[in-house]
Amino acid sequence: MGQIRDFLMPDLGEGLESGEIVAWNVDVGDRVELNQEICEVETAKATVAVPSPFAGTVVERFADVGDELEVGIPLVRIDVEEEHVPDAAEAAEAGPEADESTGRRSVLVGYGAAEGRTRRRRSGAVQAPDGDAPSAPLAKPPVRKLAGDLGVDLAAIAPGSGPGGAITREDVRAAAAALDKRPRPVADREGFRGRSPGEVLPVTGVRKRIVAKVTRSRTTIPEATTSVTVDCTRTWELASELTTRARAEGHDVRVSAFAVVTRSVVLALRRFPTLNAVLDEDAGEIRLLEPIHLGVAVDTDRGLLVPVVRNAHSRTTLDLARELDRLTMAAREGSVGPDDLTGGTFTINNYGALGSDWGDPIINHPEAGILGVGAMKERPWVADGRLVVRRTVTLTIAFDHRISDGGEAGRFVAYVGDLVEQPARIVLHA
Amino acid sequence: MTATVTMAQALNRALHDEMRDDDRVLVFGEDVGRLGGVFRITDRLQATFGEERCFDTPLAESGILGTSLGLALYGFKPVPEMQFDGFTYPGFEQLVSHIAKYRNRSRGTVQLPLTVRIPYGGGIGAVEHHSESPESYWVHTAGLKVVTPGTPADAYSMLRQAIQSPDPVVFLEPKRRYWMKVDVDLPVADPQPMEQALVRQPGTDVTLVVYGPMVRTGLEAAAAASEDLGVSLEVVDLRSLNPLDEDTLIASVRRTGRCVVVHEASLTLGMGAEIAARVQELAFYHLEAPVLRVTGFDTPYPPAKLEDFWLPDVDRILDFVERSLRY
Amino acid sequence: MGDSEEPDREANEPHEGPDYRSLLDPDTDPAELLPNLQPIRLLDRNGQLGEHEAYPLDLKDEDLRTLYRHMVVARRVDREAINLQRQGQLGVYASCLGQEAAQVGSAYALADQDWIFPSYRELAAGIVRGIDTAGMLQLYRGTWLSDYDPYEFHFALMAIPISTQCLHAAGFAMGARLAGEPVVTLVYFGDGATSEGDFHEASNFAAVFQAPCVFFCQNNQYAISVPLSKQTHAPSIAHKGVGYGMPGRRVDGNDVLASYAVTKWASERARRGEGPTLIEALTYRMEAHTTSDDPTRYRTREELDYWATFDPIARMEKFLKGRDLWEDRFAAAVEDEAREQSGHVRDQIYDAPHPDPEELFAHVYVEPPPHLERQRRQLQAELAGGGEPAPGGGDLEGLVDAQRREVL
Repeated sequence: MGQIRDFLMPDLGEGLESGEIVAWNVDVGDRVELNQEICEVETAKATVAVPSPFAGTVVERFADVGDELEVGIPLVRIDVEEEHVPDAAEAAEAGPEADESTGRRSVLVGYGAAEGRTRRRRSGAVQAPDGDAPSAPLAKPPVRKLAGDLGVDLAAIAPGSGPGGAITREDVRAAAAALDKRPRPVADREGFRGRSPGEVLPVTGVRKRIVAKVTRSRTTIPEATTSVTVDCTRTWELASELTTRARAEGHDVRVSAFAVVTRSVVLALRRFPTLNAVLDEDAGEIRLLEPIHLGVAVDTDRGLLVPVVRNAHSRTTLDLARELDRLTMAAREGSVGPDDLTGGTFTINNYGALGSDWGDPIINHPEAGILGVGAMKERPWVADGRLVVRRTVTLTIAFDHRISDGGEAGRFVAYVGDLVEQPARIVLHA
Repeated sequence: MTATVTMAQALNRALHDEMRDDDRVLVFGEDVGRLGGVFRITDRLQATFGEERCFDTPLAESGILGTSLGLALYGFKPVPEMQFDGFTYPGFEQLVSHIAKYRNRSRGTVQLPLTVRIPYGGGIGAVEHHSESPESYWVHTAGLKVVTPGTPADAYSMLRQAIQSPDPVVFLEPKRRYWMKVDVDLPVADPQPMEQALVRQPGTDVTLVVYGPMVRTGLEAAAAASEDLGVSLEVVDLRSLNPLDEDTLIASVRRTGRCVVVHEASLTLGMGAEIAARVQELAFYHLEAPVLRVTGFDTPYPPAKLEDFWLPDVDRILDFVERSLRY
Repeated sequence: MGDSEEPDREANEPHEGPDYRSLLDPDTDPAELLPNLQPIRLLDRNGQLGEHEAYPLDLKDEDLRTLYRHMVVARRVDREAINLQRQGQLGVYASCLGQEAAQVGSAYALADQDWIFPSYRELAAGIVRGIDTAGMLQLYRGTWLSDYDPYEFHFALMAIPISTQCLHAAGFAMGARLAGEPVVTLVYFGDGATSEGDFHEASNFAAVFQAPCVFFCQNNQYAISVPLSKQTHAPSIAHKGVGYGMPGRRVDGNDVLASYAVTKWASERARRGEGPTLIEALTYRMEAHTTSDDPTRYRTREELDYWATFDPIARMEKFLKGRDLWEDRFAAAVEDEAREQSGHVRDQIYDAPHPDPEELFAHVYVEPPPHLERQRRQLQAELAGGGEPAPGGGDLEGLVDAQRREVL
């Protein structure tokens, strides 16, 4: 009594997926010997004779001449003579059945048809970790950012309701809501930037540098101040339009009115180079500087920082806006580097962003001037003899009188004012 | 006209068309002439273009790559074949120390428009040294472009672009996909530049980053994820490993917030490491889960009977997709 | 150019400058290194034994029969390996059909303590060393990457990348010389291998260090499809030895006795401290390069038929018959052994189970590092499958680990 065995189409040449039957050498009912060539198969690489792995009688041929057969598909069925059947132990380990335990068919030496999906190897073993929560609060980056934005202290609300005690968005939002509702007694309220009356603040770091810098400026530079107030409505509108356009072009940036003012200042400095200059008393010279590196005063938790927009004269408005954005962010995040904080040739102070209408800025030593930009707000304005509501701004220049005279500085600030009133002129001159 | 082609045929056609269009293109290597290459990628090229433009070389990979440099310097566009991934290593010095650096050393005065074709990757039941995934070595080498197609259409278009590229290109052919068939029009109209990644399948939940042989596996995984887990995978086919198309990659991760990278090469310092680094640099606040890597293990490539346990497959991908979603 | 020829300056002018000859090894006479163009042959096609003064035969009748027996067994196992590949049981196989004499003769010439460095086609040499042929085929089945102990059989691991093993043999021989032990190495490689840089470097090292190494090139005429004429423009492969300062010898690789005698001479030379030798055994690869190859694309039926007339086994059989060393009992015993060996190979290979997948991680380092251990647990979890947690936690630990490390 025999045993029925299927001989599956082998991978005849390292990674082949199929082969075409070009000839059968045996018919159904024929007896075949072990290794007797039963058919010829043409693959993408060669035509080869296929020997039978079993001795016995051919029961069925699964393909005709001309058929393309995938690797791993039954090719021929043979009623195997008993003496050639592997013993029970071997049989248990052999054949397609045995390899099913691994989800793979055994004849497939190569890739072939083996990439049929199985569900058997899915480990399914990953469970949310429970208990034994690590001591530091667990939260993913967007949740950490949200917590930072909402002022929620993660450590205070850990463990969270997520897997393994991770803090979720919902946890943070709930904590923030609770924070807002909490009654806060006046006596407990902290002052600006957490400072309270009676505290002693050490003069170190940024504060120490500010002390030295402004003292030096006010004691060594004989400065004078002059200002103009102008209608900045068009600059305001232009900024908003430029932002829309830049975003339409795929730039993730806000072009602020301040950026447009900055652009105007660059043009004005080119026209009045004594405002972008250095006095060298030892050499007895005033050097009018070629590059314009614009310092921008930024109010941060650490105090005043003045990051520098390098080579402002060779930047487009878009570029300026981007760089202002980056530097302001970096200064506020405390990630601004020393390279970004030195080497300015002229400074702009946007105290208007804090709501101030007018200021008396201190020159950033050893520069030749500083421009203060007040708040751009709607105010009553006289135009063509009529009172109208316009958005206006006061621009103030403090300048080193040793380097520039009032005539130059006055014209400078008036020119900046003109450009702010009619920003189209920027295009004319840039 | 649409016809059914295998990746091997598409590559053969690309070589043929480039040789036809530009007589500076030379194809050479071990057994590429009369035999047509051990994978038949250069089939009939010698008969069509003669023994001067498609020829067998002595058995010497350093020789093949080093002389490619010389031929390119003379003005030819060599397209040498490395017979198998594991046999590129004798040519390592020529590729890394010379072909990659020549342009830079000459301050850009010398261009080396040569394309090194390398069948790579496993899954074909081959003996050892025939299933290696050496892409990290080349990607780590400044001066080389490294690209790898995942479909017959890409194989055709990208090989043509590689040959036309003025920079040296390592063209990695996923050998387990040589015999995959698709219906496609060749030449492909208006092909995507080879340096750009492609969203092969849009999805919303997890970005699955794949390339070369794993493109097909990744798409199968996406189908399975949708069917079995109700999870929508966005499959990004990198196509170019160097340069890396960050825009497509990062845009996808920002959409999904999750990223799983799949490659055959071993885990440590594989492409997945670089992708994880870039994603956390450029999309940190979008990440809902750490970038996970589904790769071969940190062992030598296994014998054929164990390769299915070693290679990433649909199941392993789904394991990691689920893990990503658990964060 | 004028009518009169330039006078030969070398001949007419006194030689000036340094004495270049003193820079050369005085013991090296380039003429002695030059190979014989006609391959050394002891057995002709009809099995008639000739003699060669320089390469005497020291074999007893039993040795002669053994040589024949090894060749027949090798051929039968080789055939069975091809069948097994066609039945999907081996991924690929590189046949040694036609090269049995070159391998058996040379391997038989070595002393027990000598080491063989094979490429991937040396089934017959492995049989001489008594290695289980089924074990040798496990590389091709892909059960594991090797299946015998190199120290037990003095048979290094098979090397698939071309020519690389030449350097290993040279280095091993350098070691033997350093240790002062009478150990010789023999490295097998093909004609194509002589184009690789590693062959050059190995030859040079062996010669410079006078390492006891026999370079045994089986010139089977083809490197896959590329014929010898496209591989080298040298007068012969054996001539390459001259450039390194080692003798080159050409031998009829289909003559088992000549292969034996020339290897014996070279190995004893090496053992005496006289340095390496390059032997070029001229033979023919009667099968495809491997089972993945299609030789009909690059060579003709006629060429194959021609070389079949030089069959090494038929030649030896005629010789044994002529010597009255052929008895029915002997023939039956050889047949029994061949059948037994090929049956053994079939039993061991056919549907052989794959090894435990966890073995992937077992041998990479002496102590598996933590990341490999983690990967082993990952596979373990996959193998457990079916949503059952893996023993020891598997991925669960990995996740907690990962999160812990993330916050630290």
